[in-house]
Amino acid sequence: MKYFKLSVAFLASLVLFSCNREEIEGEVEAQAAPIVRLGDEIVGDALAVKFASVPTASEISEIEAQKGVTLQRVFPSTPGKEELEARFGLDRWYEATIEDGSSVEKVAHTLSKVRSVQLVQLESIARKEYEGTVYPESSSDTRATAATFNDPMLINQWNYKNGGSASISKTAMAGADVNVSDVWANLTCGDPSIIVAVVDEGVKHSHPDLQANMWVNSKEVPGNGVDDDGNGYIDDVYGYNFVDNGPITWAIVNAAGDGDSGHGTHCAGTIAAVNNNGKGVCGVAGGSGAGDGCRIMSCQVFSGIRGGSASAGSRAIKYAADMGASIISCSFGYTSAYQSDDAYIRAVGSMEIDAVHYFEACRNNDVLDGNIAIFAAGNEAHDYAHYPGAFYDIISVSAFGPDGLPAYYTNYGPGCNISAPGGEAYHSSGNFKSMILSTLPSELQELGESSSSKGLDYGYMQGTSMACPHVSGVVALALSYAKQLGKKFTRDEFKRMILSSVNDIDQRIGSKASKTYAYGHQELPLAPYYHQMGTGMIDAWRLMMKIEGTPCLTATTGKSQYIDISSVFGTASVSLTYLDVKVPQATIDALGLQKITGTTSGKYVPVPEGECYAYVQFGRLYIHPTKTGSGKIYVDAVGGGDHLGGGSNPPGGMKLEQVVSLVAREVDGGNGTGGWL
Amino acid sequence: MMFKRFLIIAVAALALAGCKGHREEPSKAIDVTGEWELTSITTRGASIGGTPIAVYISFTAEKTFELYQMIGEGRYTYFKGTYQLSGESLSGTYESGKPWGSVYTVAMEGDQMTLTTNGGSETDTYRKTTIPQAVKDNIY
Repeated sequence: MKYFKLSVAFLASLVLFSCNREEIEGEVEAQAAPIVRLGDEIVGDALAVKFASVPTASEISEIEAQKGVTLQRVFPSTPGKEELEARFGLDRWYEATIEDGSSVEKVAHTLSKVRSVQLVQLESIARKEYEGTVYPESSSDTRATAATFNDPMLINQWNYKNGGSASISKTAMAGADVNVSDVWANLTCGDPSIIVAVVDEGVKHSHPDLQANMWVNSKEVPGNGVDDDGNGYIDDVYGYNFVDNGPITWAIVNAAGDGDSGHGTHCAGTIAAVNNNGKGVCGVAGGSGAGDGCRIMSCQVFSGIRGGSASAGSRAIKYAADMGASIISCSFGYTSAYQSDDAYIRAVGSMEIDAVHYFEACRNNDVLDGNIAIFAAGNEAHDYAHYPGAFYDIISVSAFGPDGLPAYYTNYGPGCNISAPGGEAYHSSGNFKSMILSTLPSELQELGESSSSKGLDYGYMQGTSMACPHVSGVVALALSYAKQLGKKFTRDEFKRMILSSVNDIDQRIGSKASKTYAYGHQELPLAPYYHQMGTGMIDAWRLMMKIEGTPCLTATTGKSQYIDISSVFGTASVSLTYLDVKVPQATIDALGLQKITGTTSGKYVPVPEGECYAYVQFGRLYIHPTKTGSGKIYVDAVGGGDHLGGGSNPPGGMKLEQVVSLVAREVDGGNGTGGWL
Repeated sequence: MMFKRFLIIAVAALALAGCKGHREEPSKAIDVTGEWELTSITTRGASIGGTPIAVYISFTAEKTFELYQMIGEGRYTYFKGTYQLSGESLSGTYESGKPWGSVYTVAMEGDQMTLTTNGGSETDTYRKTTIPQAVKDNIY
């Protein structure tokens, strides 16, 4: 359950309201509408109201004349979507712009007393959930790697395949990643029909490592100043700028150096930078280089020092729904020292939550009966997630560093559903490789501490903002793979699959009292994070296995082990006769399986004669992985007897051919390989 | 008024008794040596469900431990390693070099020992026992 401290301010406003009621006794007969806010900072000259029913033009005119506001519908209606808009109340949200200079609080109270108003919402201003500093990457490392793709900077993207290298961080842990490289090599790299909307700063759609994976609205003629497709937005070719109501921008910086940071372009690169193009970085769902990457739609809600309003964000989310996005990646949230409980928000509603629910109810792919929204959990090291992601049915992402432990800034606790790599600077002085490397707009004048950074297309950032697009990318890959296999799921079923496709994070958290950061000068106590980082570290391979329906077991690297396979063959697995265990070369390579020879002694059962990489006896799979990775093993057994049927008497059993998937990690797997303590 | 006076006297008496008890019974150092059987699990996280669990642990004075566990049905899995006890804080390392899943806070009461995980989300209770030979013989 997600819960938060009840707003002192909100209580105060209720008290204020109850005082006012007496004064306006003759004017108001109906109960005043609730006033809701989700964050600390609010827009000063506008607020939103939700009517109990769709208001008439005369009602609107009357309120405008009497209350000193201009009312404008927040969500433009989309032909064919009217019923869905009505179901989620999007046709009843209006933005009230204050015309007479009154305070927003005063106008809120005034509007709350209008009989036809169901809810008044103070428009919170969202903040990008990143640490605020960008460090450029100028190298074009071309060292040979065993990586799947030829992108030269992939070697520094530990977030995809973390080998535990000290060049990333002295405390890096192999396997603290999203486990995507084996998915790329064996299963899928993306699908262009799966569109991810980056609700953020504008994405530099002309970026050399993004351009080929940008969604393009083919019905819109670029730059002709006409709304060619009649969707209410002019020249929305790659998305739309909901702050300035115009073309997408990504490099607006004022004289003081404040403004765009490249945040949207960075998040977009993590989701779907073009893979295998010989340039820069890779994206989780960036394709194989054959034009098969998932597509990025830019829904701009921050512009320079402006933006982040609830109405702009809500409009952007509806746009994403109406224009075909299957996922919204929202690396923002409302900083808040107070507010609220889910039950209260469920009861009274909010504009953003209505927009997200509308988005999730739309169906924009062949796999799900809806769409998926992903939010960042927040960067204040609060023990709860920020809204809107904190809401109970929205996925909110916390961040871990290359050490597989909570990043020092991440929010955790109630509302945080899952964790992903967010990066963490300060593991060692002058080394930013422990952060997340992705695409950036080269136009930005000021990039971090470097004066020579202008013109660079790549750089490092950190935050739950960076964790969020990892989950978005993995979900995009998963939808691509499900489409490839012709599988269909409900949206809620898919959410459960996402949240349960994880590697353990608590074993490491629980085993250490604290971790070191800030160049070794600060200790972060870990006890508060135990069982508070959502369900664990997202694992792309595991999610693909869930889509396939292949059971996935966990092995521990660096030791010989027996893994209980009763979850695959049932409780009779101990007594079954096993005919064969096939280990493909790809699995041997991915897990670095050690060859088994000779016979072990003592308590363990003997190894079969000859050499092998895995065998099964007494319902246990014996293996010895030497590195983190993922792969499949094929096990044949006899069901119903000790030999196969179909031959001479006596009758024999049926052949059971089972595929078993393995994920090798440094922590104990929990399949009988780990001790109780 | 009468009741108030009684209350003050009672509180004072309790406070005195508390002081006296504290002086006469200094806290003893925790000693976990011996053989233990898991008797109950209190967890705030995921439920163990209906899976039968049997765990026996032996802590020696030489700071080594042996662990026999059966989760589900079948035979016991055997582990061993070393442990450290610092005040109420119990930590350990398996023979493989892997640390325990948590550092535990130990509390003793009679022949009962409770181990609470770092963060307090799970408390396991053990009772002093002699590990049956049948357990030691029934291992993988």
